[in-house]
Amino acid sequence: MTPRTTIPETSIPQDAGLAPGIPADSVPYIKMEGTATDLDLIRRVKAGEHEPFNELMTRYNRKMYSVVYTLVRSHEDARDLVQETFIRAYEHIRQFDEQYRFYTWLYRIAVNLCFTFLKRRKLAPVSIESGDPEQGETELPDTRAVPIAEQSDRQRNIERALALLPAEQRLAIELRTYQGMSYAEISEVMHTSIGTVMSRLSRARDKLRGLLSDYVSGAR
Amino acid sequence: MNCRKCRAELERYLDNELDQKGRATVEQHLAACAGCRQKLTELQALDSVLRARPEVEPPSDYVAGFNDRFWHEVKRRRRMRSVEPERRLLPVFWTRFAATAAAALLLIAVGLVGYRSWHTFFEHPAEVSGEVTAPEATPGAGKAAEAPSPKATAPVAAKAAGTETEKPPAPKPASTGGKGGAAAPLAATPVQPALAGVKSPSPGAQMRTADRGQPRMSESRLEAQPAEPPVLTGYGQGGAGTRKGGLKLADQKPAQKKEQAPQEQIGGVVAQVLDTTIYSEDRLSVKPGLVSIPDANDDDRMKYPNLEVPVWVVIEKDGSVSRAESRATTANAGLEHVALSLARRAQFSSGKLAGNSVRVGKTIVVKIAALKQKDD
Repeated sequence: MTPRTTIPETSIPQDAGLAPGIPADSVPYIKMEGTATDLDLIRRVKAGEHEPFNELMTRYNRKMYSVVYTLVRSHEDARDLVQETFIRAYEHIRQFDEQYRFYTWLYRIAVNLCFTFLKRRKLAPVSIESGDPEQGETELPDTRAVPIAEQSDRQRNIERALALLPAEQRLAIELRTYQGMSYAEISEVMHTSIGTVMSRLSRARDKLRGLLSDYVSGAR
Repeated sequence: MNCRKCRAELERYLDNELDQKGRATVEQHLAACAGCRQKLTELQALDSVLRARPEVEPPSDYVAGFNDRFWHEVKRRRRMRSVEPERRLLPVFWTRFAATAAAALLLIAVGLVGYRSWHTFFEHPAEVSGEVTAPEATPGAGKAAEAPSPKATAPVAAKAAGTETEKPPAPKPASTGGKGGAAAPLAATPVQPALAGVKSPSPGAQMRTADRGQPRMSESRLEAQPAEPPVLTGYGQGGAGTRKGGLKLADQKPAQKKEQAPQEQIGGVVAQVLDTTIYSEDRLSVKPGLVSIPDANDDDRMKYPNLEVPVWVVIEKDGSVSRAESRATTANAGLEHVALSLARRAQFSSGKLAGNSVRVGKTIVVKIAALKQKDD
């Protein structure tokens, strides 16, 4: 894993929906000077060009991987699911409605694939409070990307705490905290209301505050 | 703003989701309330702890060559799709339209037959009791279509059981449009063997109801070649139907496929694949006569190109159930071969078999033809 880098907040557009301090490099859809917008690229792909789709993949590849990994907690599965996400996006690019944002459409494909995958995998459920079968998964994070020896206790505990969240809450945290999405964007990706997004975020934070209480009190 | 309201807004405040006015209101309360300030501090601390987590880093070989792998896979799927073009020939709209039309025809046929039975029962009790009587004139011009045929000498009860020795006049209106398949299920469902002389219904019917008409084809074929040993005829007449998994209907090409299909003999049993219907959530598909994982939109194929799936046949025979099991490899196992092998193993000795099904794995059910024993 590499440490996140931040760019000056002044370069972040006002409508990006980023909270102060959110690393802007985690928001690849922010339009940079001199680069084609997603829409430009999509229109070229729709016109039959292949190369612009490479650019789109390059933009969203890692971000997509992070979201998918957050949900499935396995690098092998994340790899396959990200590829499948792009394949589906490419095959249905003509159906993409240009009045929407490409990345939310893409994320939504990925999220749908992940939930279908999780359903199939039928993970043994566990709940922090009650063992509700709808909630959470027991699977611990796959840490093959980073040798365990290199992970700090703190990092491992954060991963473990996130892994204990139900998938929907984990996804909400991922999209908000790590992808810097606004509530409206998260609701588009998760195909739910903004109120539900707020509720999932709130519950997730409550649980995380309990699970990471040592670090939270230390950070105050 | 009170504390309760403030705390409800704190996360939105933290997430920068409040407008200017909302922010000002919260900040005004925070300035005066230590408890809410404490709460905000906790939220901010949690946020900073979470943000300190390094970004998930994909494996080193993931990014390198990602695009190449992507295009390779896209091309592979396109190649595979071009190999199986027939899967996409039947648009969903037309399939639904045909299914609706067939259902309507079926209802009409059922109504007419029911009416005729009722009419015969009350107005010609002698026929019901098995006596041979001369047909009487039907009352009213509107019932002319239901008038018993001069050839109608068999008991009506036998007709009701499906052992028709005449073509009932009731389905005629349905078949005048050239698609007589709607009448077939009435005769084919309960008892199948005594369908001698029944002309084959619509071979091109593309829905399950129409597919049920297929036994008649095999039966008429069977009747036409009484001296020959029973053979397996025609696989995959039915289409793969969509139920849950969003699968497209497979195209059916009855005439050609019948001739191309391998013929196998199973003792005294004649089998015909009538209807391959998939109930799948796993996006595995069954082409007529073939178990395969489709190339398009299917991550299983990528992941498990040689997935071995259990296949089992459950055949209900006069209320009893015969069962045989085997395993097939998704990549290359022909469903028909598996099914035939299992059917052979099940050793059906006699009786009329209907409602047979082949189950593949957990989520796929493929209905195949009734296995019929030749009556000789």
